[in-house]
Amino acid sequence: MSDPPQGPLAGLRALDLAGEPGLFAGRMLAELGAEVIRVEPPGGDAVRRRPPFLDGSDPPISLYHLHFNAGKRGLTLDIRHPDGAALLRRLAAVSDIWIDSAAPGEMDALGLGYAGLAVAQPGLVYATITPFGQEGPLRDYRANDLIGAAMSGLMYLNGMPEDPPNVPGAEQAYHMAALAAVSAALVAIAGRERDPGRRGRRIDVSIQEAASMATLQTANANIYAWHHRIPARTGMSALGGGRALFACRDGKWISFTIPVGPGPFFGFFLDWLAEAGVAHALSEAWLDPSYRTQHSAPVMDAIAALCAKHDREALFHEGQRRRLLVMPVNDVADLVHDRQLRARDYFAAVAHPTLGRTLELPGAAYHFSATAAGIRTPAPAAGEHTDELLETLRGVDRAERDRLRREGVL
Amino acid sequence: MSDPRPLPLAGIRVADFFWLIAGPATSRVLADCGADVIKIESHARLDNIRLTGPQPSEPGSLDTNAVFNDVNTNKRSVTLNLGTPRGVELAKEIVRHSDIVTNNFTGDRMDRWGMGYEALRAIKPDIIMLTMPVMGTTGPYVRYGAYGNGVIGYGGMRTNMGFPGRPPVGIAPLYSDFSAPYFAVSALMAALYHRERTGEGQFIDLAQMESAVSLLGTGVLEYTANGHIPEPPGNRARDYAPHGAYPCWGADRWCAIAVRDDAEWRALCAAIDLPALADDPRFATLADRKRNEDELDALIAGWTRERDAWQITHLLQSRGVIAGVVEDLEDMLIRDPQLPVLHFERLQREDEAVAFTTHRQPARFDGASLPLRRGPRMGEHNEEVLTGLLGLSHEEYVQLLIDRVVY
Repeated sequence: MSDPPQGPLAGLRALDLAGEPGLFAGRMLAELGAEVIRVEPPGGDAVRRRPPFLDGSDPPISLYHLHFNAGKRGLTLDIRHPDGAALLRRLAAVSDIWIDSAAPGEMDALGLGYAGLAVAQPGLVYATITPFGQEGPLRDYRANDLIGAAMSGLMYLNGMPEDPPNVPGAEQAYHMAALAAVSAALVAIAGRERDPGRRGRRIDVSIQEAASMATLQTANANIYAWHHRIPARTGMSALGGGRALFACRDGKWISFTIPVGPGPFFGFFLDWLAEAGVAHALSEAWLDPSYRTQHSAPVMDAIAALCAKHDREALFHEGQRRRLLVMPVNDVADLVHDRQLRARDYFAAVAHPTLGRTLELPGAAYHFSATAAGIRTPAPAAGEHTDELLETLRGVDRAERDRLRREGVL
Repeated sequence: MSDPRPLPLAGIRVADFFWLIAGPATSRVLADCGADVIKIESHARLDNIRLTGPQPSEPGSLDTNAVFNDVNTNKRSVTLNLGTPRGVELAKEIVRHSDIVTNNFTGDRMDRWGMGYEALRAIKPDIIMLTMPVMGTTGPYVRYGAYGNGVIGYGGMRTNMGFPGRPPVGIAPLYSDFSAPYFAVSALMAALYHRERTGEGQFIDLAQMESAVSLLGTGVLEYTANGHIPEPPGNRARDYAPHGAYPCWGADRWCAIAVRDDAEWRALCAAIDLPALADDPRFATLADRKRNEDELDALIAGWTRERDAWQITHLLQSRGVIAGVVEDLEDMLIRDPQLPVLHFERLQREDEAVAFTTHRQPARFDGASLPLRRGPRMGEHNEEVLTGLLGLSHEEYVQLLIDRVVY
């Protein structure tokens, strides 16, 4: 028996002290093969009590925790107790990455700031996720995902023009912050491996800035500077004009990207509409890009008629067969049964022994040819690996651990 | 004074075949972090994003569109006609001098040029190659294409949000174009770490639509574990109330407010001069507030409606309540107290009248923003790369221009 293949980050150790905004960063490090140690206060942190919950579980088991902490190891430690902070400093001395989402200055006050930790471990990459960054006039303002989405510009553009701006689903401001933090931390790690001094770096991620990346608004800044235009919510409109979303015969939705500019694709598109018998109002004139930009309504009506005649699945495959950018609007049930995701083995079936069940989780979005990637182990129980980690990493023996437990540190 | 530290990826070279948005946004991160990213493109096969996007004035040029310039900072551009054998040879020479090769073509475009992973590995054994089309490089839909607006729909990011009964508009188009890059950079850096430790390169297959599915949070588990599809939550959250965007003074002006615990609720009541509300049994606990959330939202909106969104933000934040303007572009560029200074940067070259605004990378390294240089003009670095890196003579270079190999 050979060992199972390791991830590309095998040998790398990360301390995950993040709250909700940064949990996904540690999850990605775990997917990529790092040893990710989730550090929580004794008894477990608030993430474990966050909805949604597993149906029928009592006490309620948080799906939020099961998802975001999958693949991590669990250690409980009171970092507000001097002995706890000291122990954490010893762990940081043998770690490569630190991720937290504490308020600016909070970790410094506990003696857990970057400068101190880097003395014992110069190779440490220390990443912080805060609402508005470590510097700047808003550094002490607080934010959750909603405020991050709002103040980044990520929220304003979502939704129908007549509705209030829609907050993105599933905490995208937090996700973008976590992505920015984990990618930057790994940039610093890769750089460290090539640095003769093997020095780490301090990484400062602002949720507001990270989420603002995920819109066209940074390119749109030029529209404002050059033409003084402010983009607004466009609802179902397509980027190049016309409409992007259509209801199909089976009630499901589909998106069409109408080919713009010259080239054969709009012709493919007209052929389809003609063969489907819905192109009565269309003529050769529509092959002219400028004409169709000004007369998009009949094209949209024809697509709507096409979609009303067919189920979504048929439209999707027929459109793609014709090399047109037609895509289904999937929900999670569609995704869990999706042939492409299944063929690529995207989902991770992870045994959860304490639940007596195997649960399917989102897996890794990348496949490596020489190394493995993915989630293999469930989110840890609170403190599940405390004894093992302290013993093996820092030689904290049983008597010492018992003392720390009595004092409420572990 | 010691010299400033080199950028983290100084010394790494990328042979970059990316086009459109998601790909170039990925290699932009590498370039901003100090890698030498050589964008390989051609008039014979244009990166369409040079054509598609706002221009400072009509008709504009291949070098001046806003979207192209937003995703291509700090890169060098070499134009090689890969429809010619010599063009492919030169591209392979660049690969031989590179650590990473990137592309986001759908299908077997790189193989047909003779630059699939096995072929490039024969040239550079420890090469790291990333291919990141929408559907990845395997599976029944491998030849299917989409832009970001299709990827977000496929990946579930239109159905997991919005108000009940409304069309599944979902997240702003192209979200995946700007989120997938951070998955790609992470995967590349993990592979680079592995190479530094073992000497082994590898091939990375990244499906942009899978990166969207990976951003659905608990959505997948709610279906696989609990067997139901979560309702779109509107602007509400299960463990907050109030939680939403409230109308403010002015056209299409909104302030987001989020209250999680009872202390924050009492702070909000005091801040909006309705302290009695804190004792109102309809809203005493989170469970009460969730039960009466429509009434609650109407009360809050009644207070916000006549007030300025920024004033509300500053007042509520000063009282310990989480609040923030739903910023439009003008907020982001002018009214926000820090984005205009800390996040946006104007890039202008001496020989150009037009300035480009772009963002800095959201991660600061050791307290400093990464330096930015405007995106390359088409073929701007042809001569320096071909005669410098590849060591061609000036005469050879001129002949390649005449032969439209460099094109």
